[in-house]
Amino acid sequence: MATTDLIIGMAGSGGDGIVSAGEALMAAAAREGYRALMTKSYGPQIRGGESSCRIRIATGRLHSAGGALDLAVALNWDDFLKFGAELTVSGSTVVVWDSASGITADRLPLPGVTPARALAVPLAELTKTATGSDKMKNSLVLGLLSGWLGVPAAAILAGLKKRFLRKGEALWQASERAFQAGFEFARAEPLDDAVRLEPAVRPAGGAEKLLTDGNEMSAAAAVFAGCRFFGGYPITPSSEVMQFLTREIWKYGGAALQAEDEIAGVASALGASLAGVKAMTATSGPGMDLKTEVLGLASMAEVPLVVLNVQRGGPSTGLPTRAEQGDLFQACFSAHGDVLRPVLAPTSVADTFHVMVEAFNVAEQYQTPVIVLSDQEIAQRKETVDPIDTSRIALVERQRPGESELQDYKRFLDTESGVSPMSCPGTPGGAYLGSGIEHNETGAPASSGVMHTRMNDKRFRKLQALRQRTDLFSEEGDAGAPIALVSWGSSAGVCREALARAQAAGLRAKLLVPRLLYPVADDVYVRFFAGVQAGLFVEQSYQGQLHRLVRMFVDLPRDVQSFCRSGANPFRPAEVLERIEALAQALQGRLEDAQPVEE
Amino acid sequence: MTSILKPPVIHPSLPKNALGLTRRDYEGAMSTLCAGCGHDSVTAALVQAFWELDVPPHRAAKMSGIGCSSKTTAYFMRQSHGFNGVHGRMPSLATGANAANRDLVYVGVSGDGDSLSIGLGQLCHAIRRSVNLLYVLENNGVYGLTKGQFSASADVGSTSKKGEANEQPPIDPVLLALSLGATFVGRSFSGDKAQLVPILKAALRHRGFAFVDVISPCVSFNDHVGSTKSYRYTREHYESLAPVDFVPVRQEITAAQDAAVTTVRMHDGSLVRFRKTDDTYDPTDRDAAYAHVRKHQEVGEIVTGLLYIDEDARDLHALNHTATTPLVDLPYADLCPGNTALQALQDEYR
Ligand SMILES: Cc1ncc(C[n+]2csc(CCOP(=O)(O)OP(=O)(O)O)c2C)c(N)n1
Ligand code: SF4
Ligand SMILES: [Mg+2]
Repeated sequence: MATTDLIIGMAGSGGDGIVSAGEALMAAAAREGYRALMTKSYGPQIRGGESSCRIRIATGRLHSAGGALDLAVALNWDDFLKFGAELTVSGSTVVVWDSASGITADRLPLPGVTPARALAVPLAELTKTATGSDKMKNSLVLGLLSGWLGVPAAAILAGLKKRFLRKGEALWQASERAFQAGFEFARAEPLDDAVRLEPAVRPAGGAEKLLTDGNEMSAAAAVFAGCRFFGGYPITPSSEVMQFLTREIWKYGGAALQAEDEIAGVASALGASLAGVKAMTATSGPGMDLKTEVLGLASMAEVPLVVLNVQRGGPSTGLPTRAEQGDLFQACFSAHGDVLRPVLAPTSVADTFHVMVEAFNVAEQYQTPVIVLSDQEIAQRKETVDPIDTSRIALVERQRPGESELQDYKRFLDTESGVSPMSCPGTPGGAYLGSGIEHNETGAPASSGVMHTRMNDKRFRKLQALRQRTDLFSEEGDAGAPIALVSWGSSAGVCREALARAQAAGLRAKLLVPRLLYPVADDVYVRFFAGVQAGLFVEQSYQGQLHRLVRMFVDLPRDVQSFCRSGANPFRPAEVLERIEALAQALQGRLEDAQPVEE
Repeated sequence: MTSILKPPVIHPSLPKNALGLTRRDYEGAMSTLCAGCGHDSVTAALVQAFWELDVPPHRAAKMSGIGCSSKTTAYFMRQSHGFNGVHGRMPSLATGANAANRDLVYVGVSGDGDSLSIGLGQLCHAIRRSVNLLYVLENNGVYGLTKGQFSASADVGSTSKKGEANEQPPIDPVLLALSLGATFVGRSFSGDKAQLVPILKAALRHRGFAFVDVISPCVSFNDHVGSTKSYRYTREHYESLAPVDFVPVRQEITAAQDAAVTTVRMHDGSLVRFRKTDDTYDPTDRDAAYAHVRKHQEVGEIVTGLLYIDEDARDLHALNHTATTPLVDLPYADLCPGNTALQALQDEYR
């Protein structure tokens, strides 16, 4: 029987075009109605150097990049082996490589692993015979994959034609010939059913899936939410957000600024928001460090502002191209003084859209900076996404003073909700002096302890309602289960898959995925953990930051532990499943111990 | 946005501008600076300039950083919006505000610490972007607010109140602005209101970044013998370049053409007239302006006046082709791309 879920990993050197082959395969699969998810990794060189991609194709929904490869394609073993962490080969992997390397099936450079099947293919030679040169190896590989996987040739060729015809008829013809040679080879040398995909259901026209990544989704969400100003400074892995908005936002009556540094980026966004428009910045670790002072200003002056942090490994320059979930403490706490600022996190590419729109809504509603913690994996992985239905999304705008409030305008009026109408410059009667200094209701400087207490109370009070936002959490699995997982960001998808597998194996477990990380919605956790006997917080940070954060506010059951590790070590569904199984066994054991021993 | 003015306060004896407002209407809160601080005189000059130019107070936005100088936005135009940002970051705050609402009149007030130390990069880039803003640097050679440490504009040999001499060469903000391409550069002295007010008026009408460095002595920490930013030293070494008149566009120009007067027409039709004291000086020649300031600096003289002006330059909005309607005034329905535009965006990913 063919499979419904397949992972392919490929690696080559810069000129091999292996990543673009992966993209072509993914695009064709998406057009055919499959779900697909692709991550890419590159060597340390800025250009050239080795590159790799992992593509997961399935007939049903996908939540993560998955585990070991089902099919590995090594254009060159040296390059392939540099991606050991990403391109894991196991006993059930089919391995394909270029026979020109001289490596034989019994001498594979894969210590300790015997793949399910090893097949040397004369990649270079076949390409040369078909086209006269070995340049189009990637088209040949696509032909092989089409033949083996069953992704229709027509769909892949349509994509290749679009790409190569622009560069000339001859190139397109060479590409097509290389593809055909690969396709015929695959027909003559079929692989087993484990790497053959069940056909997908082709979507009816118009409802085609989008192929996009988290950074593009963030930017599109900002445009949709009505963001009119972006100020930022390039930094991996967030730069695409700036690039997208610098190109697009002008079309929608907005403006974008590539500032001289991250401080100017966030400060210009604050200035724009102050002047009355929705505004944002996007950055990653080192840039986030620089923004701290202005974030405090935004909290004090109560200015709506969205700050997207696409997390990478840290501290300092850290691991610029690898995901980590280590910036949660910084997001919550990097400020002097007592500050409460909302922190949200998306769990997938599609989710990024909704979380970003929510971030703008929260920022506007409560006149506060909001930090969105995306991460390199979600931000840069390409994924099929269903067209976004925006008909049910409501957009929020900041409260403005009405005629009566302008009679005796108090910018920081201490209302019951804590939110005060915010006038924008140019409004007659609406002038005030905003600042980072502690102030009274009119905005005039005030340094008495009494006023400081009152204003702190106002700034904290207005955000309390967020703790009741149960819609910013999803609970999955068996509500009464004794085993509970909590996971956020890119790790959440892995847990979703592990949970599905655990349930399929008859284990009772459940999963809580928070999009709102801070303020901690204590009631949600208390309710979720009621009756839970064992659990795990799964996250990619050395300290297990969410686990620690939640425990500041909630008494968790004793046997809820942290399953955490440093960034650049993405979780795989199988290992989370193992942990669930271990917990289940321990519980079972406990249960047996508790039974009275029969005499 | 409608511009309904509050009924002006009636002071029958005080002169009124075209809006029916008196100078008092352009004042702000009581100053909390030291008595005699140069910054208060700059505040008074700003009040005068805004009043004379008939700027509706609610159409002006005052931006500043942190410092005694930065506090002064509270002391003029209480009916105008103001924002005290963080130390050295006023230029970028003003850039963002400017991008969101291009129709307001922006004035940024800063100090030599705020502008030449912590915020030097921000100042340079605001010049480079040509943000439409009057940028007033109240220059006293010290960090007044933190009680008198040397700033980056302190001259070599200038001594602190306790007698220590500064050894490091200063950053001259005027030379900096000239070399970075600022399109309006002036220098004045807080004690010379007659010179300062017309410069501020012309700067407010300039389209683009208008930089005005004002020597503004700190009476508490830098007004002693040995300081080169004291009242006395400044008066003694003052080299006033061509005094300027600012002639707003609505005023009928009656003065006869005079060979000793150079006139620069501003983009809105206002005129700046330089009464020449130095026949060779050309305020539209950047290199000459630079050389002139340097030449006098070498003999210990502080050149003041409107040093350079380029009225053909393009500002932030021209450079970026921003919409002519302020972004903040575009109705939300027009702005939000909604589902249709989102679909178009999404189409690119298919
Ligand atoms: C990040 C930061 N560092 C230091 C300070 C302390 N500080 C406040 S004002 C100032 C210097 C002000 O000097 P200047 O801009 O020349 O203003 P003046 O008081 O002389 O008018 C300093 C260092 C601060 N507010 N913020
Ligand atoms: S310390 Fe100096 S700069 Fe500050 S208010 Fe007093 S005189 Fe002015
Ligand atoms: Mg100073």
